[in-house]
Amino acid sequence: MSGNHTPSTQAAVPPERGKAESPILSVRNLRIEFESTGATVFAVRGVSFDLRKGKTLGMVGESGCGKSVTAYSVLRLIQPPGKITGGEINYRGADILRMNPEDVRAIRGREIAMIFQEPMISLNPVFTIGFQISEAVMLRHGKDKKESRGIAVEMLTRVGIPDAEKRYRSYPHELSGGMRQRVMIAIALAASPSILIADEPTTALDVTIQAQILDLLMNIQRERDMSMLLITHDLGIVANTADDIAIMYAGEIVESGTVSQIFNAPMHPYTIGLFEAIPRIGESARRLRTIPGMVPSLTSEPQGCVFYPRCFRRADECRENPIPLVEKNSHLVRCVRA
Amino acid sequence: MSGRQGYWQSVWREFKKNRLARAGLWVVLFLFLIAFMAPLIANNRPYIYVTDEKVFFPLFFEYPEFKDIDFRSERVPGFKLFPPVPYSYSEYDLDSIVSPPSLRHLMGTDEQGRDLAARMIYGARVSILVGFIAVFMYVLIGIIIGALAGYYGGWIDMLISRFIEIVICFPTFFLILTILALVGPSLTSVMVVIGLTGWTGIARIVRGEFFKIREMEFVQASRALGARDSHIIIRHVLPNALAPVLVSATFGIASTILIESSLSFLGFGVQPPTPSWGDILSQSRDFMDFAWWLTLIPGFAIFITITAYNLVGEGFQDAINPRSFRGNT
Repeated sequence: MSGNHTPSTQAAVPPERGKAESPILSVRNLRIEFESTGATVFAVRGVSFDLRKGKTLGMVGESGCGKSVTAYSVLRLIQPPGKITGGEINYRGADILRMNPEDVRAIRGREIAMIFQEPMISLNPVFTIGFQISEAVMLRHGKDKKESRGIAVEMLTRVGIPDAEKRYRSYPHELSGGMRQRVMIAIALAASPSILIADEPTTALDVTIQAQILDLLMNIQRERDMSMLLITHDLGIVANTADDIAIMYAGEIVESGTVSQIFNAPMHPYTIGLFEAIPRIGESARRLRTIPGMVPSLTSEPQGCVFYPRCFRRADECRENPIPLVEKNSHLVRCVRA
Repeated sequence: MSGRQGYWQSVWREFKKNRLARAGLWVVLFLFLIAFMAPLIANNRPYIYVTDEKVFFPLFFEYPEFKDIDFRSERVPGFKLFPPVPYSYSEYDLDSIVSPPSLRHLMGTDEQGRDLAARMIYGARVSILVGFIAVFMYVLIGIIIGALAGYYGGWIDMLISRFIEIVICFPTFFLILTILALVGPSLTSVMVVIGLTGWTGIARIVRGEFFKIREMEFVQASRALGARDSHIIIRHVLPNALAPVLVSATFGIASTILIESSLSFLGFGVQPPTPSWGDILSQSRDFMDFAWWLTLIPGFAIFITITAYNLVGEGFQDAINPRSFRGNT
């Protein structure tokens, strides 16, 4: 494993195909609201996306755009005051949003697993990491202690933790952030899920460790033909790891398509802005380029385009009606002027 | 923190650095020892009794031939090895009533000629029994109620919090007095009543900790793995909430012993002939002007015990809080 992403990684992704193959996870018109004192925040409004089998969907957006709550909602992990108010999340022919809690619990971990942003606090500080992995194994496979221990050590070795037998008895505070994220991955993969949701898995790690963790995730994904929903705010990460991209802004998907479509021909002004904001080597800009303005408050349903106040291409027509997500140049974009 | 060690090990290491807390712990252990061994320390039967023909162990075994015999009497011949305090807590030495400490009665006697040392030793049992059982009861109740409120939040928390506030509104000591007046005073009822009324503080602590911990990512992670609520509460949240509860429980033992002493002082506590420090203190009132030992000794014992538990609690509190590390003392 090296932290060096060669172009061959990209080449491994098969070329464009028709959308004939049915997706493993299909989210339709998802709506999530947060009830706060006296106001409702419409955090996610009509989000739809498909996760293809064995592929990675990178969901990109800035803080507060609703990407994490979207991810959490797949496992129905939204806690009050948050609430899923509409839509469908279809997994293997069943709508997760309409299942009874026991069935959802059976899917969690076993079918769809999740890893989190902060490996520093994602592990229980009072138990050894070995205990926590074996616990996950026991919880999912109903194996006894000894078998679970064996599987746990195997998993630790697989995620690249040296001296796994010894590390099995370590407490979380004795491990570095990168090591802890590896442990989290081991726990998530303990039950061989078919989908892994990774909520900013590398945000809290430094850059070299980031690359290692992403490599590890990609390798395991390929090995197991697992699908991955990768939540991030870093376009660089999705460029190297994802097959498909969905760009989120203020609770909506504003553009989605394959990595090459989005990177070669971004159409939504927000996406274009994101690309322009990436600093480039050799470019002698004195200031980093930014998108002017602020993310709108979502305490009311916006009338027209949510990006209107910050858009460099705006026109009066953008303000009148809700803008639909439509196919232009073979991928989906939510902009009438693209 | 370095090396391979768990949370409690590092807490213990911090605790040991605190000299006062260590002293407090020794006192507590000493009291435990006394309470546990009370019949071996204060007893009117000898450990060993050797006559010309046979060896007896009257303290450990019942011998029908020695029934109602006072081994201390000159009329019982042979070698006798007595415990340090050769009196039981309820026997009367009518030759020495309200006598000051002497070689015969190390801590003196009370108005009925009972040996104070024997009564103090047995009184330690009551203190520890009441302290631990009552606190154990209310910690258990407090954890359950606090956990429900803190984990589920919402209207459950609303109901429980209001209920806690209602219970807190009663002045605890008078509530206990009232209940004891209704059910009748006894050691059991003192423990049960303190146990049933004392849980509010623990419940609030647990509720707060649960609020904090349930938002932590490892709880989310466990939920994402498909763990049940009961599993999450017991395995993930509770162990992380336990430290402040144990600190509070340590202080709770001290205040429970004080409550028991106060109740016994007022005659609502442990009933005679079972000796309790508060009861001994209460009896001493009539002789206070000359029998200083009847007041000072139980008063001092209560003071030392409470202080010891509080020092342990404080040391513990400092030890679980990494921010209060004092370095090497």
